[in-house]
Amino acid sequence: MANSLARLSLNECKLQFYEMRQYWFETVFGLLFFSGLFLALFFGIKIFIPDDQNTLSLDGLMMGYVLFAFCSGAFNAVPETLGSYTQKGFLEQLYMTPSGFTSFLIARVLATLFVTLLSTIVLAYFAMAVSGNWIDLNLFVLVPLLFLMSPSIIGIGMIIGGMTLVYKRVGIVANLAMLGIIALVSIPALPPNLASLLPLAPGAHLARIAVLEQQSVPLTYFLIVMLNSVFYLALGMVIYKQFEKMAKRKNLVGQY
Amino acid sequence: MALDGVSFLVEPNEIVALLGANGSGKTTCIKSICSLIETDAGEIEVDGTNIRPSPQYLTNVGAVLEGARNVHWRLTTLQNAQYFSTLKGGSWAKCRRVADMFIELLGLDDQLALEVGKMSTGNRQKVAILCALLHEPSLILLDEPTIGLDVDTVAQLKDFFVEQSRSQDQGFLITSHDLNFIDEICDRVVVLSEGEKVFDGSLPKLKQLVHQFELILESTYEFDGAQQSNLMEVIKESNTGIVREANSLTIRFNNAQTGMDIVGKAHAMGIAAAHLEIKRISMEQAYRELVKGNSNGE
Repeated sequence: MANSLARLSLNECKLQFYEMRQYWFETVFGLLFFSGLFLALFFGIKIFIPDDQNTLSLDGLMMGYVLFAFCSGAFNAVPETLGSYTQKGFLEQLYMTPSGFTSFLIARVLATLFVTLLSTIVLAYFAMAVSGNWIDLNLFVLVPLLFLMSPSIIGIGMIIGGMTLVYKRVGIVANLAMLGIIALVSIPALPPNLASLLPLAPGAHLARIAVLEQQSVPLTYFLIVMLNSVFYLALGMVIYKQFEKMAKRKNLVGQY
Repeated sequence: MALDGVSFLVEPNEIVALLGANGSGKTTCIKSICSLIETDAGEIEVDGTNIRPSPQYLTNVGAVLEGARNVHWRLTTLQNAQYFSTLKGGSWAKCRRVADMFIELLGLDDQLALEVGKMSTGNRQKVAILCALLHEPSLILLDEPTIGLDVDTVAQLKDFFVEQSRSQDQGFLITSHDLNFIDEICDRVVVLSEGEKVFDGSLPKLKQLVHQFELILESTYEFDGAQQSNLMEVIKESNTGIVREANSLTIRFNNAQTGMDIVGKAHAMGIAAAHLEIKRISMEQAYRELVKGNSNGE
């Protein structure tokens, strides 16, 4: 391989940092918007729940918020890259990486996960500080779990990404998918039931059990999350490749 | 858009022009070499390696595509240089030296603090070219590199491409509608028409094929056929093109002496000229005729 994955990932991290700095307005207001959204939900719900019951559901909301922040970032990694660099006009150059576009995408996703993780943690502590509702966010448990479940939602992102490559404007599908993520991180998918088959759902539930409720978790749960991740990532890659093939046949790479 | 049976070679050290009307397949050709378009059949090799099995060959390819920005407009020249050279697998320490050299050669020294998007069209194009050449590829593909650029910038790029090709043994494949530009820097021309190759050879050869000079003679009164035939007896070279009209004669030829002979004879015959013009046929005209001739089924 001409280029190690580590080098490519570092290159992407650097680019994301440059972009966050250049588009500082979007960066700052993105964080504010996300925080505002949470706080509105938080205080909104707090009003309607009797005081003696509210701790558990507010903690659940907090956890859901952390999961949603990270997973929506992971989901967006591929479609955002394809969409925005098509518009910025150098997707073709990215496609001409000697290591192959797949290596580039992996590097890109890793860099995005890293940046998303950082901003999620910042957002979480900010939200907890403002709301005064602290939960024990055990990062040593949470972070590995986030990485374990994320391939599943990255796979879904790749499907949307493939559509972006061919149909260019798929914002409405991506927005729907974002709503879907809210449902997926809150649906009870463990112990195993039909919902465990949905992407992300078992992983998100596992994080709730392990981090929020701090219960010990049977090994089979991890296995289910892992299988879920492998399946949806593989599915995403296969479908993406099909779209890519179509785009290359029709000369659509980089056109918009 | 489809290409059919197009085959040509670009040697190191050589600047080859890919010409053709809009839709003749030039861009398809370039994009196929970059693996941005999948071809149904045929072989493309770069440095003796077939491009199909692995994208690794792209280490040896640099491309600036038309209709795309090619670089990140919100980054500066050096930020772009670092990003794209790493992407291409080059070491930044080495590429940085090349970048500094190019920046000086292209006169971008005073632009380093600017985001590319805030530069002039010419300077943006220079940055795109710089980023494409930074990893020192052996084959460089430039799709319409001079579109929208002023005369000075085009002149600067001309020198830059020629110097690169000579000193770095790089092969260039350039598409352009700017035929003066092509005329001055290209060693060889490949002409496409409707996805097929209609010419592959040196520039002088292309020009010869369609004559170098054109003489137009208009008389104040009508030439009769006998007079015109009489006048043309003076032409010694065999490959000429003649268009006769009621009171004008257009003759295309390759030998400058032929022009002298015709004018001399016309004078001796006492033809009263209403209009006389002898001009060199431009590249543009030459290849237009070639393309026209081809579509006429010649």
